[in-house]
Amino acid sequence: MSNKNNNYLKIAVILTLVTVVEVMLPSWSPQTVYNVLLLSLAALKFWLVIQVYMHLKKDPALLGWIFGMGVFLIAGSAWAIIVMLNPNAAQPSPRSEVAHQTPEVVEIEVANPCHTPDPTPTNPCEGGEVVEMEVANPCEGGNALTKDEMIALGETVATQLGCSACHSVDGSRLVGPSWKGLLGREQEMDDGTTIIVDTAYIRESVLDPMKRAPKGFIKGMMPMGLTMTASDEEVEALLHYLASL
Amino acid sequence: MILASTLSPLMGLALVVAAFGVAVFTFYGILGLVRKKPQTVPAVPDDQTEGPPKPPEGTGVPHIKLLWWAYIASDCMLFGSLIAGYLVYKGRSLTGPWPLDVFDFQTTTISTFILLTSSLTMVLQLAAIQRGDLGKFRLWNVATILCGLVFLGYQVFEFSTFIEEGLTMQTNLFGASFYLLTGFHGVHVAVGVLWMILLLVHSFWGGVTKKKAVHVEVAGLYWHFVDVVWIVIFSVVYLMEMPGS
Repeated sequence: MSNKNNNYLKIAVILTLVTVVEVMLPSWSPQTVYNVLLLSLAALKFWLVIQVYMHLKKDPALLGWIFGMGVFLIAGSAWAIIVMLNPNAAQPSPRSEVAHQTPEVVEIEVANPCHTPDPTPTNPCEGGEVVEMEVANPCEGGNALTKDEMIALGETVATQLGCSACHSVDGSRLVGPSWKGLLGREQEMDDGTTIIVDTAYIRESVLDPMKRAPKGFIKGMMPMGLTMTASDEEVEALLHYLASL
Repeated sequence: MILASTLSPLMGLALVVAAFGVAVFTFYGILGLVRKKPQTVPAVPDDQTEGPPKPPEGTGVPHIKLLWWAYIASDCMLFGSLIAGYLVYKGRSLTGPWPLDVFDFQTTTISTFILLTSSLTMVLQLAAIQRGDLGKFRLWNVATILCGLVFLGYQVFEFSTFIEEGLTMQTNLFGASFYLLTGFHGVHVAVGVLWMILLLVHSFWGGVTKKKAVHVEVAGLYWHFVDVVWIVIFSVVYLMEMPGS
């Protein structure tokens, strides 16, 4: 065997050993440390393969630049996408600050989250959060947003949460039902009932999407923690926006 | 569910046909099986040497290699977006099965080793044809094909086990993003295997020679790229779910 082949074999042994280390890595270490270690080892293997097996080490730098450009662009975009859409990365909204203010705006309460006559204990509408939400003063500094402003804010929130990936506003069917003419629509549900969509249902469908889904749509597809990054006011605005379409 | 079970064989068939089409296109269009018309070289006027110095031409890289590196850079974007999509929805599925319910780390580790090994056989195959050793080329070529097929077999086994355990593309966000990412990778491996088979067939027709080793080299570039993508997927999708981490 030539030297070249010996070199290839050495790389193969290193790749195998690194993979063994990856699999054996103590998973009891803190999540961040563990993830960083894993990514570093993966990057090492990645680098070895492209440098030696794909001959980037010996080939003209041009090829490395083409590839590097691709990797750089997508690494940046991927990082941006993940940071923007990851609810865990954001700080929870300071609910307590808002909660002690005097309830003022009544418009919001039209959307009563608990229309169910006899809510079961498991009904998440019963949770403290939602109750707090009703009390919450959605106006900052006493300047109540007008309805139009709420709708405009809601549209922004919907964009930021990435809702349009699955919901259209023009009536076309995507992964989720369209929002066009949502309020007052007669909707057949997957539990066999037919409901008239009201503000209470809109609220339920956003905050508790697993409860029921419109017939013909998959229940599990709404992401969990969707509204975690949004403040109470933003959630209200979102509901206003949905009802306005 | 019924829709999914009847559609998936069809989808699988469609993907195989598409993969075959891509491979045939690659074979005919790029490997140059189609007989080239003899090109008439435009005569360079003699007085050219006396004029102003010509700007430097070319990149010093065979065009076919430049092409495939550009393709690989763009494929990076495809896989990068799919991985980013997977990470955005990670931990946000509302219903199970969750990753830990279905992942079998031992099986995946074995198939990862096999794919890494196929990268070694790939470079050995290239080194052999660069020496002009057609026998060794065929040996390592067949080894690469076998590794690729075994990896695909593991993936088919994995997917069918997951589906039996109730995880389909339509079950939840995890299923949708997982099958999309690993399925795309599997299709890439399948195309790679077809490419290898075509190279083998071509070698019996006398089309694979020391002089044309660059055609094996670009096939290798593609193969190694698919391998490095798996290195990332294995770490990000599988290992980061290790229990306890």
